[in-house]
Formats: sequence, C-alpha cells, structure tokens
Amino acid sequence: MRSRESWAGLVALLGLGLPATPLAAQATRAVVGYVYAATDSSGLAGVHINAVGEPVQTESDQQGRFILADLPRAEIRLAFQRIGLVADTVTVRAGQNTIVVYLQLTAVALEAVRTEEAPIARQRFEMIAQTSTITLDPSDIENAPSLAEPDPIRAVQLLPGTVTRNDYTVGLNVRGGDTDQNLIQLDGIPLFNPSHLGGMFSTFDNTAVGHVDFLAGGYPARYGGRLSSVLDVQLRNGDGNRTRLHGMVSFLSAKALLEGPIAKTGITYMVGARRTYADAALSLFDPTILPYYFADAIAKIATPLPGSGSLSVTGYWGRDFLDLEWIEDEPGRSGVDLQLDWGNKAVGLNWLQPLGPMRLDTYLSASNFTTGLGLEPDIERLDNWATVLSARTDLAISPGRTHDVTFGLGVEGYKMDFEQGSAALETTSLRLEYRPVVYSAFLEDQWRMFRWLILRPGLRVSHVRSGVDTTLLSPRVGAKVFFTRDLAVTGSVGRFYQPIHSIRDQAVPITMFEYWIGADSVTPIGRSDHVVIGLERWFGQGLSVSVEGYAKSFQNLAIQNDADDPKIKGDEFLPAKGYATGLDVLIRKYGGAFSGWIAYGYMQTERELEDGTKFAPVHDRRHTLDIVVETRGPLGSTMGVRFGYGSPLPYTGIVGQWLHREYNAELHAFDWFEDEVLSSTRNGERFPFYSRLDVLFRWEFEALGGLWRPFFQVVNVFNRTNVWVYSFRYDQSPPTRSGLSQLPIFPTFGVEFVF
Amino acid sequence: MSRGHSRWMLILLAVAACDLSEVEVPIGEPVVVVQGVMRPDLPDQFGGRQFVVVERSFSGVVGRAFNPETGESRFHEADSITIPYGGYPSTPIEDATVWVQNLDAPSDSCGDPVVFVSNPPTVQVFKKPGIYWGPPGCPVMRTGDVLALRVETVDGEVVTGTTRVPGMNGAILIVAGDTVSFDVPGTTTFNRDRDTVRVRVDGEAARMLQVEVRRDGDLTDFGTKIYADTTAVTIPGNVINSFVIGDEDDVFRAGRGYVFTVALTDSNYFDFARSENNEYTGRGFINRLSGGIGIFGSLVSTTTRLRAVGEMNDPREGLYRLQGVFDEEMFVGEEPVSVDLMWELYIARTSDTTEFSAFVEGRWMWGEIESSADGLFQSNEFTAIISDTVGTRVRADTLRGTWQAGEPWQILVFDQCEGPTGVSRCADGRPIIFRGTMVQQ
Repeated sequence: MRSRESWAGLVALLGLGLPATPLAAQATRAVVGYVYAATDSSGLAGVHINAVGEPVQTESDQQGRFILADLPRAEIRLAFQRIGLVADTVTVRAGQNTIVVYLQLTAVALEAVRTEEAPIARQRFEMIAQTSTITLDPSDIENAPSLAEPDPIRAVQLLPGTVTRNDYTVGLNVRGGDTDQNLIQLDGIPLFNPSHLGGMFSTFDNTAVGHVDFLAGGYPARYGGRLSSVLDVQLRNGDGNRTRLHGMVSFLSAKALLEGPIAKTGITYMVGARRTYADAALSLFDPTILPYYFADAIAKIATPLPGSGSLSVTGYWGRDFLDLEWIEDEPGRSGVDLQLDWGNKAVGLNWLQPLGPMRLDTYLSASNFTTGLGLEPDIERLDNWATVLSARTDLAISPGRTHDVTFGLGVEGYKMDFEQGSAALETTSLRLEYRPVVYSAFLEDQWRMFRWLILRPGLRVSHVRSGVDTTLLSPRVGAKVFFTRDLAVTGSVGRFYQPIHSIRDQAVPITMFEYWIGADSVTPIGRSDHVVIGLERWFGQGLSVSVEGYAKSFQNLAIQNDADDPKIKGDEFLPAKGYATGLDVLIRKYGGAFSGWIAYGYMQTERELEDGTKFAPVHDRRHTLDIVVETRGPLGSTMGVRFGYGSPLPYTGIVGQWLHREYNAELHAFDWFEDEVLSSTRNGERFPFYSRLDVLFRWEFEALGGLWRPFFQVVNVFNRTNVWVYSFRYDQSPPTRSGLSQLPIFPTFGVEFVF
Repeated sequence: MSRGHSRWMLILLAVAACDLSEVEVPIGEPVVVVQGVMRPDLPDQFGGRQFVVVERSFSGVVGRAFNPETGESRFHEADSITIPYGGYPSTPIEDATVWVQNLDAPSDSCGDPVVFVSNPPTVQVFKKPGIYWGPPGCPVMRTGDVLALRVETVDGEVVTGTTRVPGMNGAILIVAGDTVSFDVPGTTTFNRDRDTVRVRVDGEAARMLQVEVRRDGDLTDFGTKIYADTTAVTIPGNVINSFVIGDEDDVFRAGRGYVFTVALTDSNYFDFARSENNEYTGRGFINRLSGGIGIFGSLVSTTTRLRAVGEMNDPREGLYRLQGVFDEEMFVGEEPVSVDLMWELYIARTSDTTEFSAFVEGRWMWGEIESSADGLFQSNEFTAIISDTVGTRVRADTLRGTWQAGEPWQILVFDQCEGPTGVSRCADGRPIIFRGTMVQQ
C-alpha cells in the first residue's frame, strides 16, 4: 500500500504537479531530478527512487523525470533501482534541490525495455481516472510490422477503437469518428493533417519519437477542439551525453538523425531528415514512372532552465512532390504539368517551469498545412491553406494530498483559405476564407476521494469568435472505482466541440486534396457527447485486460456538398448528425518471452443528413481484430507478427452507366459524351472482409563502432486480395465488376544504424 | 468533385494497386436519361425546332455494342456522332410523351403544352428514335421565362424539370487593343504568340459563360470549350487545351481561322457542365431533373470569327504564291484551270517543327477561295491539305511536292481522291496531276 506521499510522487511522474503540500513546505523540501541511461543519456522511465530511511518514494516518468516531496532539508541519500539497471545510491546535499543521475544498464537490457511500458500503464491504472488511454513507446512502434518503416500512426491503427479503411491511409477513424476529428499534436503543436500525400505515410519519424499517448475518447478538459480522440506525440530530447548519428536505409526511403549536446551548456539538439526515393530508383528505367517523392525534416533543441525548468523548441517541415508531365514542352511553348502540392510546417516552443509547489507549462506554436492541385502553368488550380497560431499555459497545483488541480488558458487563431481558379483565363471560381479564433480555459482536478475512488471532474470553456460569438461549455467527468488492487471500473462522460472541419469526401479512396473550413456565421461548430464505461483488470505487472463500452453522439457535422454553388457561402457542406456505439477490448502483455496485444473492437456508426437521409459512413466496420506479438525469432532475430481482420466496410454500389453528353452551343448539338456511373443507396453495399498477416524480423549487432539493426519484413504474407475499390461496366452484357486491390505481398528490407 | 479530377485520381490509383479479376454482376437498374437544351436564339436552325434526347442508361441488359436497328451486338458509332447531325442514342426510349411548357406564357400560339415528337412532318431534321422534336418556333421563349419539361415513357416513368431562359444583351471581344462587338460581322485578327483574347458578355438570368473555339471550315473539329462562372474570360493566345491530349493541343494555331462562340447558360446547365459522378463514390453529378437523370436547360449564344497569326521566326514561314496548271487530260472539252493562290504560312509549335498551317486566298481549282491549309514537312517533301467549305460540306484538297530552302517549291500532284467529302474528279483512281510552284514572296 503506497503512502499518500508516494501517490503524490506518482502524480508528479505524470507531470501533474509537485507533491509538496503547503503545510509541509517550511520543514521539508522537494527534490526534482532526472535519471538517464549512462550509455546514451536517454531518459529512463519506471525507475523506483526512494529516500533511504524516509517514507518517501516515487518513480521516474517517460523523460526520466521525478519529483520527491516532503524530504527533510538535511543531507539524504536516494536509492535508484529498476529491473535492467544497476542499482545506485546517491547523496543529495542539504540545500540541493535538483539532481541528475546516470544509471548503467545490465545484461538483461531487453527485458528491461520490455517491462518499461508496464509501469506506466500500471501507474496510470492506479493513479488516474481516465478511460481509453494507451501509451506506445518507440519499441512498440518499431516492432509492429508496417509499410516500409515504423510509423507511429500505423501502430495506433492497430489499437482498439480505430478503424483503418485501407492499407494506403494513415487516417484515423476512432470510435465512429471521422479523420478530421482527432487532435494530433507534436510536442504540443496541433497538426491539421499528419500524413503525406495519399495518406500512406505519416509525418512522424519514429527515431525521434519519445512516446505516443492515444486517448480514444472521454478525454479530460485540458484537450479541446476535436470530437473524437487525442493523439499526443512527444519527441524525446537529444542525447545530452554525446553526439549520435542514427540512420536508416530501406527499400523505399532513407533517413538520418543527428543528436547531441551543445558543448557543456546542457543544451541538446536533435535534427533529422527523411526522403523517399522510389522515384529516383525507378527513373533509371523510365523517367515517367512515379514522379513522386516526399521529404521531411524535424528538429528539436532543449535546454534546462534554472529551477529545474526546461525550454524546448520543436520544428517540422514536410513536403510532397508530384509533378507529372501532362503535355510535353514544345519549342516556343511550355508544356503542362499536373502538380500536386502537399505540405506541413510547424514550429513550437514549450516552457516547463516548476514554481515551488506548482508547475507552469506553456506552449506557443504555429502550424501550417497546404494542399494544392493544379495544371501548371496557370491553367487551373485548387489550393487550401490552413494555419493555426496557438498559445496556452497550464498551471498545475496540488492543494492537498488528494487533489491535483490543473488550470489552463489558451487561444487559437485559425486562418483557412480555399481558392479555385485559372490564372491563364483570369477567372476565380471559388474563394473562401475562415478566421475563427478560439479562447479557452479549463479547470480539472484529479481527486483521490477515497482509497478506492478517484474522481476527475473538469470543465472546459471555449469562446469562439467567428462572425458569431459563441461560448461553449464542455463538462468532463471521469471516475474510477477500485474493487481490488488489480480490478477497477472506470467511466467518463464529456462534451466536446470542434470549430473546424475537413469536408473532403472521405469516400474517395485516396487522399489527394484536403478542404479545411472553419466555424463562422454559416458554418456550425461540431459537437459530440461521449459516455464511456470500462473495466480493467491487471494480472501482476505484466498482463492487463480492459473492456470498454462507449456511446457517442455527433451534432453539426459537415459533409461535403456535391451541389455547392461557388457564389453561395455556406453551402459547401451539408449539416449532419450521427452516433457511434461500440465495445473495445484490449489484452496487453508486457515483457517476458513474448509481448504485444490483442485488440478487438465492435462498432456501429451512422450519419443522418438534414433531409432525413441516413447512411453508414465509409468507416462503419462492425468487427476489428488486431493481434500484435513480439517475440524471439529465428536466427537470433526479434520477430514481430501482426494479424489483422476487419469485417466488411461499406461502399456505394454502382448500378448502371449513362452517357453524360457534352453540348455544343454553336452547332446546337451534343457533340461528345463521357461515361458516368449511376449509383444506388449511399454506402449501401459492403466490400468483402479484410485480413492480412505481416511479419517482421529484426537483428542487432555491433560493428565498426556502431550499432546495426537490419530488418526484413513481409506485409501480407499470404498475399490475400483485399479489395480497395471496385469498377463496374454496365455498357456491356453481361455487366461486370473489376477493381483494384490493396497491398499485395510486399517484402521490404533495410538497415538502421546508430553511431 | 469537378469534372476531370477523377481521372487524375485514377492515375494515382493505378500506380499503387493491383487489378482485381473481372466478375459478372447482376443486371443493374435502368434509368431514364433526358438531355435537352432549349435555344431561344436559333430561329432558323433545324427549321426553328428544339429537340430533346431521351434514352435509357446502360444496365447490362444490352451493351453499347448493340445496334437497335438490326438487333445485332456489334459496335456502332451512333453515340459518337454529333446528335442530331447523324448521331443518335444507342439505347433510345421510343414512343415517350415529351412536353415542354412555358409557365410564363401558357396560352401562347404554340399550345399548352408543346408536344415533341420523334417523327415531325419535315425533312429539315434528323429523325431517329430517342430524338424528340418540337414544332417550329415553339415553345415561346423570352428572357426570364420558366420552361417546364415532362417526359413520360410507355412504362409510366415520368421525368420532369424546369429551366429559366437566359438572355444576352451584348458581347464584346477585346484583342490587341481593339474592341469588337459580336454583333458586327467580320473576322478579327490576333497574334497568338503575344495577344490575349478577352471576352465580356452582358446578360440576364444567366449563370455561366461557355466559350467555344472551333477551327473554321472543319465541322469535325470539336474544338475547345471553356467554362467560366463569370461574365468575362481571358484566353491567352498561346493557351493549351489541357483536357484534350493529342497532336493539336494548342487552342489557337497561327495560320488558322476560328469560329469563336460565347454562350450564356442557365443554372441547370452550369450544374450539368461542371459536375460528374465519381467512378468510385458514385456521387458528384448535380442532377436537376426529377424521376431521371440528365439536363433540361437553356442557353443563348453569339459567334464571331478569329484569324490567328503568329511571329514568323522560322525561315520557312512567310508569304508564298502558288501558281500552276492542272493536267489537260482532266479537263476534256474544257479550258484547263490555272491556279493563283497566296499563302500566309506558319510553322506549328511542335517539337519536330514539321507541321504548318496557312491562310490561302485566291483562285483555286473551283474558283475564288479564302480558306486555310494544313501541311507537313517530311524530309524534302511536303504535303498540304486545303480545307474548303462548300455549303455545309467540307472539301479537303491535297497537294504533294518537294521543297528546298530558298528555292521554289515544286508541286507534283493534286489528289482530290483522298478528300473525305466532296466531288471526286479522279478518273479510274488516278491522282490528278498538277504542276506548279510555290515561291516565297
């Protein structure tokens, strides 16, 4: 049974505040510190720290940070221990309030890495009344087979509650929500669309990722602006001990990441870049094949500040290039190229500053997403630009041993523009702009009411200025009831608002263009209510089972209006509402001979237009199963296996064709035609079920002064034909159907290295 | 999704995926397709008759490769020929009752409603199943009038729609600093290498501007259509027709004349022209008919002519005089015809610079002509085809010869036998001999 001091310490582990109580402040002190691995200065999580001879203990968080409160002011000794690490004891002088400790790894480092995750999830279970939360660390991500390289979002797609529509998208449909309803943050910077063109690759480089928190619903008041989920990606800091170079070369891409300290300033840096090069490889054979590639870069600088504070700046740049020659150049005349532009730019600053018993956490960021489609030069072009400038500050305090209160203020200014036209013809078909500003404040409390009951009440208030000023109240309440030390029931209810929408038609099988709009006098603010109730059971430290049921309502959704009139503002979308209900099951094993998880989700969701038309959205999948296992493989490898199953997804059936004729005004005649399909009920048909087996083998050895990690993986081992899209022909007898499949059997290989 | 974008998506899809094998599916659901555009501004065309095309969609019962006249499943080109200039729907709906009524003039001389039939008592129109013709001058159509359509098939399917008739008060052309009204007959010359053609239209009850550019003298050239949600549009002389990939993808070529048409359309037509059903989502087309799919719209237009010239940077470009005489054997009992044609020749902006176009004017085989020619250089030989419009028919006269820089071109043969239309003067298949020279002036 942990003491209340240790509960407070564990709260600090999750960065919620300092444990020292005001009454104890005069006679005691708090010590804030970091525990790092001696080999690479990476933060060590889950290290147990106790004050020798004192009833004070805690554990380090993902960054290796810890706080011990209520320590005597005299000199003390702190003991550090964790499986996989050489235990150590250090002295903290009287008057010393900060400390940094480096621990050596033991020979069973792999075991330590595998058990690293369990303490975090276990401690969250013990401390937090929060449903639907899963954390992934880089090893979880890299050991889940993926397309070409480890991808955080593709790993999240294997968790319960998510539906992946096809192999080519990293879009997240979470518990019936649409892909624009997820708050995706990179070090606190919101990203509009964290994917590259087509949706096959995400913007996140796993080498730089520290951890990923995924909240699938019922999330607390500190998060706002989206209806369905939160994906919080935190980059790690650069190695503070020495300079390192990470690299990876694979079948499709190459990347490098350099990190290290800046002299002895305590400042660390990390800078990485990535590029696909299938275009370059294939161009050796035919320069017209696949004129597409993407490149992205990431950078982070972090510095400690006095008083155990820290300041970090994170930047991201990504750009996709597709330049297809449509009409050749001729002498004296330029040709025409089909160009697709797609890019993300983001920069953010995070200042974390303990202030005695409080902690101030401040974020400033700018995030931009652009997408464009055009026939160049100047023939026709569509562009969508979306930018958000945001600032927020959270203040965490602990006004008692049983409360952890966080109060926050924030502001987000959006700037979204859409333009379609032809510079050559000097016409503008459509021009829209949206400028919503959202002011927000929240208050939440993690209240350990009784030993067996944790409450988490919260309230988020948002004021949206967008032509029509609107004030929105979002109550959020969570509760956890412990029946035993290892068994608890958790529930949460909450209301969520979203002032921006993407009205891209999500039924289109590949993402070529986005279309972000914002709330204004004619565009509504989306709303969703969540009710989540779940049960979680732990079997020791290494096995957990959770079952969660949920019900969500959706109001004021925006669905693309095919008949929008460019001269009418506000008809770009059709208002819709909907609901989603389901059940998610997660069985997760940490460490041991094998680790991984079994994720099952049952879900039903529906949308309804204002005219009463009801339809299933394209992600309405009844059953989803993902089994991810990591274990020892042949030839000394680490093997990752993933089996996925998905019950049929909906699509709109095609029941005929017609000749859409083209009219000639001069001749008063129909002089041409185009074939067009005729459809039946929207999303009234179902594709066949989906299944896929992937295998990954990874080795590790040292050579030439570095660490080498070659890998080989096969996606879709059984080469199952999973349908992607259908095409129909009704202009022949009998009518026929063909189509395109998702990924066939696809082997990839590569090697990572660290120097 | 606007028209054309789904084909770009298809390219990306095809790069990324594998084909599924083709399987048979059940017969689909046939739908009545009605397409008609009312024209209040063409009192003389087709004897002043409006027409509506009524056909059935393809449902897999019969394929497009089906000839309704013979009942045989073989490919025919009915759909590919301009309707109603010889083309007709391959899946027509026959014996439908087609009415059009002017809701703002219900009691006019045309009757209430106006009945369209597929076999009107006239020889001025092309009669085929699926094409329904109204009486001359009916319905009455004034700017702002609302017309209602009703189509009922023998199976009881009913399709309805309405359109509001647009009106055009005037249109001007601004090119090379000159402003020309479309109301003034004539031809405007512009330099396609440096000039921009601007159009301004004044109208009422209109939603969209449609601009058409067609090669003068060639009714088989479908030309270029530009749609603009505005009353003004600018067309650079060197713009490329990006949605038609082929040998001639410049909208304008120097050495050619163009028929330039501007039209104002109603909102139904605007929606019809700008939208299409996506092949994969099945949605996208904005259908303003009830009970069926298609268009019932209205449109007014005006036309002028353009003459495109260009910069002469190639030594082969310039003014030429073609003189010569035809083989006497061809003119038994007649005086041999001598030819004296002036050519204004331009090289097309293609990579091999082998194609040319030219304005031709003067005395030709059949008399005085003012037309254009297209040609091709191949090594030291050349071929040129003079397009000549006689009535509504286009005659193509072919010349062959040799050329050498700085020297007169030698015309060796004139061969009308290869022309697509027109009177053949060939005797027993032999080409007509023509001896002449083309001398650069």
